Amino acid sequence: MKPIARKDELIVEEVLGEWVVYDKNQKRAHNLNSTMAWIWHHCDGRTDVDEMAMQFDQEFGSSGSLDLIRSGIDQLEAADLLVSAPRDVAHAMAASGPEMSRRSIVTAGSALAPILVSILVPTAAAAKSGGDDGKDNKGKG
Amino acid sequence: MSPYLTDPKTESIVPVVQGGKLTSGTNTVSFSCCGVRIAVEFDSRISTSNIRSVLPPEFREFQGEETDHHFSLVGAGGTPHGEQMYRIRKGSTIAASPVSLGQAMVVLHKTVRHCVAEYTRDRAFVHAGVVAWKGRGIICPGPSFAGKSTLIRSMLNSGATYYSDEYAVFDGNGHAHPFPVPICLRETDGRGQTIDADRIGAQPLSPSLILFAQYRKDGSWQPGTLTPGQTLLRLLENSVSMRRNPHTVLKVLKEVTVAAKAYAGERGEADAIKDWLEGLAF
Repeated sequence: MKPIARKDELIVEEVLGEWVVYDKNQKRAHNLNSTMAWIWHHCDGRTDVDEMAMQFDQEFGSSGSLDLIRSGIDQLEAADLLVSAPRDVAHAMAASGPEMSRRSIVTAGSALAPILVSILVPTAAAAKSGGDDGKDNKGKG
Repeated sequence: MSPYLTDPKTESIVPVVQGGKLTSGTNTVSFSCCGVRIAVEFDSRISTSNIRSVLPPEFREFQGEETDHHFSLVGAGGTPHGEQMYRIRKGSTIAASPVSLGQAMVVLHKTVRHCVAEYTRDRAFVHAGVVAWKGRGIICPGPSFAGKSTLIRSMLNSGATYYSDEYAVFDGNGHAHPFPVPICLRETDGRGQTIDADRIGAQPLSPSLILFAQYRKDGSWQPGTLTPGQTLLRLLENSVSMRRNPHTVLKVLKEVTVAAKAYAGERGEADAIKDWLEGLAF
């Protein structure tokens, strides 16, 4: 329930509020928009998802951000940017089914939606040819 | 052992290669470029000036055998049509077997430049065309056959200063350095345009604009803006050495991203972008 941001084998650069993260193991680069960067930064292993949502609402003057936080953590988990994911989040999302999906869609449409886009960084030869660069947009927001 | 053997395919005499190195009958040029040390060993029937003419910009020759990469270019007999064949190796691996000296020079030129682009520790190479237009640096990233050269040519026809139509070479400050294709190769290489020396950039260029313009026959240039993070990710997609040197490349391309505005979209004719640039307030 208290997610931890992965730090090993990552290179992180902050770019005017967004973060770009390079995973040296998987040769993937991720772009985290400012909301996603905020969520990842708060995955400190001490803050659970409910607390994170409350902090987020206080900081940004929003309300009911739990779904937004869950959506962000789900994306971070899919991108392998968490050490351990809060399993009950995944279970809760699966259990709540269509209703949760609708809420996620609302979250995705908001200006504060967490967005994570990933690419597979090409080999030198692939960059030259423009061949299979493994682009896989994982943005869900 | 004789330094020459008979090639079983062509029955012609070729130099012996041991461990990727020719044993004799060759000359060698050793040079460094962007911190990468390369030796090019070549058949002594090929002139050294020919080899030098296709080496990358800012190459510095040195004496000595301590190099990081070894290339060789040797004659490899004749074709049934009487053409002289050549063989280019990188280390002990055959990289190409061109069928004329002109073609061999083009292949050697490309292979050596790509080696520099991949292994440099000092700079970040991105597949991109670069021009200075009205004092502004314009970077057009994209892989081969994405239409970079056409776009660059269109801007050159409007008076832009040429920096590169293959690699954008950024230093630690995010400035682009000239990396032109040698004039002697432009016709052979299919680029087909000679550029006056005074139209080639001489000074490092601060990028103002990054255009991710993908050519499509019926495309219409109505670009969207990219955030800095999106821009950096797309530059990484076109980076040559990110996997080998991620710390440097990420920092350098961040500098580029912060300095420039970025747009992405599909384009049709290259002149449409030129018109768009005319109306753009930098």
